[in-house]
Amino acid sequence: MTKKTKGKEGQLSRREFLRDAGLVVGGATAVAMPLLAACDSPTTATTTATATTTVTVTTAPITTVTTIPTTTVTVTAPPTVDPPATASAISTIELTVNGLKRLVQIEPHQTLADMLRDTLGLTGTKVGCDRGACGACTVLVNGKPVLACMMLAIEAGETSVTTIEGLAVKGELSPLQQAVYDHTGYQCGFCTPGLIMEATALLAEKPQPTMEEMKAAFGGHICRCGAYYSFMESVTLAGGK
Amino acid sequence: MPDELSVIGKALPRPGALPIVNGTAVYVRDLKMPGMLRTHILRSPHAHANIKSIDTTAAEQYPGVAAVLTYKNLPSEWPAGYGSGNHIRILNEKVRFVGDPVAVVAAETQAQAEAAIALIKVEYEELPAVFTIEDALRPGAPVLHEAYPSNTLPEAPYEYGDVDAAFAQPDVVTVEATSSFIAEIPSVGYIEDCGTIAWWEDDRVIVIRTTQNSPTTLSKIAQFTGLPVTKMRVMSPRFVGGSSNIKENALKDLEFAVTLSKLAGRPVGVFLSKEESFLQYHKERMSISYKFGLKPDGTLVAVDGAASGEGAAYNYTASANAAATHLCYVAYFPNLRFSQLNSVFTNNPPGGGCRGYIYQEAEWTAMHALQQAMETIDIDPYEFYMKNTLKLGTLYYYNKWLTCDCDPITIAAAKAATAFDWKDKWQGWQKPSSVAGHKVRGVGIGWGGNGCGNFTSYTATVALSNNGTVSITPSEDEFGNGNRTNPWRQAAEVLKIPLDSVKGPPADTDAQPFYAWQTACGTFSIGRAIKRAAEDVRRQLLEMAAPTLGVKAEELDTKDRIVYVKANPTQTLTWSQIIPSQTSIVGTGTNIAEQGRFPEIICAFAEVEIDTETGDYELVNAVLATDVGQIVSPQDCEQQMIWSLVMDGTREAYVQDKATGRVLNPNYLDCKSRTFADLPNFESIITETPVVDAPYGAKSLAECIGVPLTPAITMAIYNATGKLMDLPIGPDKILAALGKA
Repeated sequence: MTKKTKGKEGQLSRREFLRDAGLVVGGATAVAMPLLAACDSPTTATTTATATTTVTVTTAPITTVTTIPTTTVTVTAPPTVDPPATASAISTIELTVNGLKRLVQIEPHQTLADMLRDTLGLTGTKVGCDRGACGACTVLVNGKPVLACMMLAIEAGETSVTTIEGLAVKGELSPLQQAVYDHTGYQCGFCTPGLIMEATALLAEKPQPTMEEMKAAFGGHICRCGAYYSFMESVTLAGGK
Repeated sequence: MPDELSVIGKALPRPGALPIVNGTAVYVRDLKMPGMLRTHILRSPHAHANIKSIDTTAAEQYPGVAAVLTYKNLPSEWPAGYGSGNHIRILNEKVRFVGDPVAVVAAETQAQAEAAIALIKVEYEELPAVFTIEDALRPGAPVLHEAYPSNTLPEAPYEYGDVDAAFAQPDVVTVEATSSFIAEIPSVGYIEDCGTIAWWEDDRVIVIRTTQNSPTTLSKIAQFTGLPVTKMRVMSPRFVGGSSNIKENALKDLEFAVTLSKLAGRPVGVFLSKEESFLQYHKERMSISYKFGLKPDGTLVAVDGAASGEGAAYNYTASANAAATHLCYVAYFPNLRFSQLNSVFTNNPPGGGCRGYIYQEAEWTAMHALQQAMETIDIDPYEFYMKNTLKLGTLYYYNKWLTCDCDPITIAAAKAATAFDWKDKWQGWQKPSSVAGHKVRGVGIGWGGNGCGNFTSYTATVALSNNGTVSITPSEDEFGNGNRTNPWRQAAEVLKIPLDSVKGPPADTDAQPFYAWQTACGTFSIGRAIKRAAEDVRRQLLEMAAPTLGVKAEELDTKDRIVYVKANPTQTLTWSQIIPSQTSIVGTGTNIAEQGRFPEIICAFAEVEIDTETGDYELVNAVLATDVGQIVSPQDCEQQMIWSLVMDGTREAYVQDKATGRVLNPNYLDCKSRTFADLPNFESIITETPVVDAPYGAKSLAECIGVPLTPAITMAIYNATGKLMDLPIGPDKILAALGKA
């Protein structure tokens, strides 16, 4: 069942996937749902692994997806490392990851972040919130920054994905990585890979971004250590290199 | 002080940090043990209930399920080892907050664990719940813990000086204020959620955890298992996404991983979600009443107070004691009495440390109340704080009488006032600093700190090996602030070797001598022990070299792994020539804690701009200032100051359903974290007034960072609107203050 995905504009984002599955993402109630579902009585939470088994075609996934009960736990808290629960759930996509062609078996509900981390072992991509709210999982898809927790893996077919592991060339750090290291543009480092990927995209577009441009570009990233200024200083140091 | 420093205070990359930028840094969640089971937690939908029955049969039979844990099948030989008094077990027949764990499933896959959780049938007997300190203290209030029928944990009164005599002085102005400043609970919201991997080797449990505090984790396991600490080993990965914060908490990821791995006989990983982490991890409310006595010129004379701290469901960390002990860092009262101090159980999610345990909350509350005293005598808050802060030579009381042997703040504060342009911006109480159409600005100051300077006793070793290796133990957990490697700078400085040539193992309680714990003590407590160990091994090295070089040890020095005669630097021996082949020499150093000494005090100046049409406010200018004695790592020092912007209690708070106690916004989308887009003009001023008796003259900096900015913003909003508000402050409150809502 090798799957080919459509072009970018025709793809189904994870956000749309969730919305079309009956969830309104963004409201307090909806995003609190995994926990609340876990709190509620058994009847409101459904089994998960088998509920999403039949997404086989990317051209019409919505029809299939909408049959998923709205309180499915998996939808908002996808499994992390599991082998595919049933054979019929498996799809195969072909993509380029950090310059290497890969054929990857995925489950339909798997996010790009999960695929990168669990299937390909690229754990440099961190999942901070799994809700598209913190930016930690940012990777480049065809050179553009994307929240890997909000994109389904199946959408990544025939794209070129770059993760933090793919920035160094033959072990030599990119100028930005080097600047972040030299300048200690991080604290605990958990949000750093996502920020470096976002900044890599920014520098490709604007080699010497202003502070205001950086604030805007990094506005979707949360650093709870507060390494905000030191990271922007690192980007400035790397600018133009 | 050495005349020239080559490592201390130099902007050097953090040793071993390359994996952070190239993506190879391994955090707990990146690890997989062979055969590791995944888990999911069933949580209570009720704030207070007894579990009448629980049926796990269907869950146990679900494919892939290896174990289901409830209060019923906890190992019977394990004692009660949870809660404030270790009076309950890790799971109980009673639940005490919305989200309190009821059962945990360990299964082959995450999906299976989640599916099996849905099959557990629980019948609850709902009980009335209490969500505020006041309600919990009312006569007839529902009792959370039978062991504590009044819902309180009383603490010893705290008193020094002669309060009554001080108030009896003729010219004392008395101001009474009661404050429950923290109306809603701010979050911590560290970026990496808590997780634990545990497995058993025979009768010994091995744990890898997102912790900054491996030794404390060891004692926690000992508490709830009843096992001696020799039966457990705790490791942390090299990297913890701690957001420079403490992850010792009430989350039970540790407890469940240890227990389920024992039940299942396999490694178990418990990884909490963001929602779960948000729910159970926050600062704590306090309710404090004060009677302040002060002279008309602003000199503080006495305070008489009573304080309650919210211990929430399990009172993991709360204590009202800090209301009394830590007031001296906000403003020093020569006479103080808190005759009533207690922490109070409520049906709210349990709190945890957030750069310290509840003292920041106590200081926030104190500043909120003191502001009222300042306005009563109409004194400029800058003048007030400068007058009453601890200074070099101040005799002050922190569990005992101490003399302040450093100047913690006045030099830095004066520079900050200038940088902020305080004199021009301050227009008086309830007076905006500027008005431009519907944009009104106000300014405020916050001031506080702690006595963490030398909080921990600690023994360290520094070993020099024949092959040139320099290794240090113990090794700390690294959770963001450079805590693991910044103390190494002191050893590198003593031995005059490059920083990146020092190494140490990741924190591992098996690989190291016991050490108690460290919190915000890296620079001082640990650094001083390491410095002493390095000096000890250096002395040994020079003594070993002296006979061969034909001089006394005092005539020798070492640099770059070479010992040389100071008077004739061409006369040398390499370390390898001195230290016999295949051997090492080991130096030891011990630091003894002196709690309360070496105060860290920090102040913040804030300017906010309020939009009187929308009620929005923006922090436009902020200046933070402190004195650290000697900067050890410039980048880390500077970055610590920025954390004040992260922990802004005016912005971030839980929205709680007052009827059910359910937290409605446990995530970054709805609990608004400050991000790049919200950064103000920010300046940090760090002065260096070397501290006698401190390692390289350096004090700690870290825990106090979160103290001053939130009250400074609150004061600024007060001066812009004329209304003193509690936390959080949103457009609704501001519009109401302006009479528009």
